[in-house]
Amino acid sequence: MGHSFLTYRGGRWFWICALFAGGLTVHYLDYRSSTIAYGGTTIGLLYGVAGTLIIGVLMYLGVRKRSYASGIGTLQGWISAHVYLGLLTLLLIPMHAGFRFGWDVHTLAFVLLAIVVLSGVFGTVLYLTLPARLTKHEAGLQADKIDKEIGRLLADMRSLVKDKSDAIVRLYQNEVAALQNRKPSGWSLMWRGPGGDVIAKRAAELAQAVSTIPAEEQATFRLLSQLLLKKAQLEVTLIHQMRIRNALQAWLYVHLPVSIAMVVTVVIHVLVVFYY
Amino acid sequence: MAFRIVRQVTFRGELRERTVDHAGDVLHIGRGTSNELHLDDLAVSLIHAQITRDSQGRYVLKDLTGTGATYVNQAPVMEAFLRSGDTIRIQRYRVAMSQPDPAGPLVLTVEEQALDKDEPSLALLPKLQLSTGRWTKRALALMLTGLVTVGSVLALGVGQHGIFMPGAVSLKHAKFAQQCDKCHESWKAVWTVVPNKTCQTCHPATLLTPSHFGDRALGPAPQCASCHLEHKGETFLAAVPDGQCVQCHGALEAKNPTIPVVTSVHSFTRDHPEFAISRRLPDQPAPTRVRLDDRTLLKDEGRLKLNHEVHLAPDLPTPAGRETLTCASCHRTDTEGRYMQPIIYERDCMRCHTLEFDSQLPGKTVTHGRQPVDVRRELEEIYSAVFLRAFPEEAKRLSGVRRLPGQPPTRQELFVDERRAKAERILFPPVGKRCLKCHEADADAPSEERRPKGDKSDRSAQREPTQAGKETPETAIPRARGLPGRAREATKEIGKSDYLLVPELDNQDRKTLSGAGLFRIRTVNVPERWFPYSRFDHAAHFGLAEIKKKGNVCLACHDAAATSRKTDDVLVPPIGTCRTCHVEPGGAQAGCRACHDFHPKQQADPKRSAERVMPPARGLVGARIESFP
Repeated sequence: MGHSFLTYRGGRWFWICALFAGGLTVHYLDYRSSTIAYGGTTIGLLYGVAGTLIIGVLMYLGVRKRSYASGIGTLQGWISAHVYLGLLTLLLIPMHAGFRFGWDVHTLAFVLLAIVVLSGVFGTVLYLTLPARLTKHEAGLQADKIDKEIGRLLADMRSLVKDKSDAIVRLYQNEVAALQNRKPSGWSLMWRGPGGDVIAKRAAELAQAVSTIPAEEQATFRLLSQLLLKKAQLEVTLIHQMRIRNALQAWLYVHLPVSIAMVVTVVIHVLVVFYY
Repeated sequence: MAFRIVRQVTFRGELRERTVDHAGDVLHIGRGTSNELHLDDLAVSLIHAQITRDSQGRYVLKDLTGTGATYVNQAPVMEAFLRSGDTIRIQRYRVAMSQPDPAGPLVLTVEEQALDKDEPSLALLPKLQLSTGRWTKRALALMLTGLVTVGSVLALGVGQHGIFMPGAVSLKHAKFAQQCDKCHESWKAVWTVVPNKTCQTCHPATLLTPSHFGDRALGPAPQCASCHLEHKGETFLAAVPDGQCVQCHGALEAKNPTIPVVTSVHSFTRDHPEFAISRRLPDQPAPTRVRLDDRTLLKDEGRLKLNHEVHLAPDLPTPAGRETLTCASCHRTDTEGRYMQPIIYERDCMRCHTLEFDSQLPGKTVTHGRQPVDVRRELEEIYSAVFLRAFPEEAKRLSGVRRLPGQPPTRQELFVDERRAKAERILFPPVGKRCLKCHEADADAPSEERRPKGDKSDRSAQREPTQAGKETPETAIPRARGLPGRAREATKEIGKSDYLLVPELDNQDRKTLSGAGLFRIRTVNVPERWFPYSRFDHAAHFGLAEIKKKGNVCLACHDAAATSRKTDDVLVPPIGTCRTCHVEPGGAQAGCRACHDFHPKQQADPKRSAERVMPPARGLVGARIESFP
């Protein structure tokens, strides 16, 4: 981890947040020993306001990362702050509430926050571990190039089989149909993988099909088999890559929607505490 | 020259054919510009492949990527001989081989496929991506947001306000937990609390007046709801946690530096100061708080002489024989067993310390609780009655007749005077020890009898030896004649009867009689409660195994009583004794409210029985027994 957002500028945000967390803990213990800790005390409100501001900063990352021209710090710094400030909220918000939880909208806001932060932690771990594995799988080709390469292989196969017997053409047509009928499988890919030794299976199938091919077309069949196996191999590579690429994105499907819902719940929480 | 590369290039808007010759035997193909055949595409490896002309003039293609991404005549190859007419394909580049002259160079004609020529329907990648799945992040966000919002509105609509409450309602208020408007009126700032008048719609305002925001106010009294925190779980609101007390008592000097007793308290276990009693020091206008560890000032101001050690000695001689007393022989708890009742002479002392004054009147006692001057009057009444019963004819003769000044005393006067003097010698000092065994005489009225000057009617208790010789024959009569006979009989009857109720003296009488110079008994001033503001339950402690195993349950805590010899000793246990059990965490309860009350108990709670209400605390000095006027 030579240079990651976690150690941005010597872990600047880690130390800022660690110091803040330490000070906060000392302050909270003192506050708690002298009075009843809950969200409505002066200190509790102070914690709440601080928590809201931090959530604001965390949410702003969504804007900042899209504005390339922005001069407010580097994006790496923002992500570094995002990670550590996010972790800090897991301490600050319970302290705001005096560690009181219940089956209510206030606790819901915290639970959603916790889900967001924990999914973020999960995402961070993925970002620290997966890219190295992805590089290994990308040694040959990157995903978009593989896709195009498969297209070219198909075009080559088409030109190869166009004046050949039906048996050979069927092999090509089956290949195209399989690709066209394939269902979107971005999510299932992550836990299913390519599904065993696809290439060996394909090779066995082709070995069986060899008897159906007329003798004069055996040479063409061999070439086609090579192309088909090559395509299968490329597909496997692509699937391996996409598993990792999808994993790098999948946690965002929790992180982002829940964060939006969390902000809405925080708004409800603030409205409710002001009313009652 | 071994290779000739022919490429289509765009030059000044025109498509032209450009030919480059390469003389070496090896031709490199790749993305890097150092390659002789430079293929400008990221999908191509830096050095992707090479074509070598061997010694026999054959051309050998070798894939350098190691992945077989080089095709010859559509077949993936790692190494292959090239012939004229072969086509190499690397990514979107097709390189056609031709060798018009067998001895000449190999001509490589590079053909570049357009960038986006692939059929989109055959693309595999989109089907493997998350973004083409059923759920998008936006849809999920919308759904979750809608769920939260609609859920909240629905809950509000159907009256399920519970989900908006920051914690459960306290037990006593639980029955109207869903009726928010009982306490909450409208929009209010989060840093404010429900006003007192809301609480007082149910709770009487007098019960809610906090005691220590009265004369010694540190500021305005806090709102009810700022200490009795609602929505903090299913608890009793009255069970205010220590933190609420510590809020001020943790740093009282910060609240008001002029408070005389500034002691910061955070918890009973940690830094509660030693208990303190209140004393009125002579030079201090206000009572002084004296801590139990203050050896110089700590003193019981009760003026009732008592040696606990003597009383607790085994086989004490009592009128009923030898007896070993226990604490309970004299000290009693109230009906609830909480506090010790004040010591009452008749109940707790009289059995041993009788006020008999005449061996001829066994069982007859003077009334306890009166000043000596009143006792003298009572004695006179008693002996007058004895005399008149013995000599009823004297009553007839003397009725309504007052002795003239200068006349000798009557037989009745002489009889009463003598017998009274005798009785006083038993009761009063310096000879008698009945009264001053327990009581102290007032400092400004010495126990020595002072006889006013020129008082010829000698009614004193002390008969000086010289007086005996001056006796007249008249005075001798009752002694010689009356008592052994009729007077003795009468004395016995009087002794049994109880009809002698001596009327209380009015102030005028007392003034006159006190002039006789008798000593006065000091106010006993025994404290009824050492800590009038604290709460304690003796009975709750008696049953504890830790206390029982020490034998005497009283001495388990009041251990100093066993060896106390002085009246001055304060025998209430110090804080250390309590802390042997009352410690946090883990020990017996050690919260502020275990001993302290916040609200005054001036008004009886109608829901509770009268006995359960604590006696009102009367200032710092506390309640005192004042059995003497």
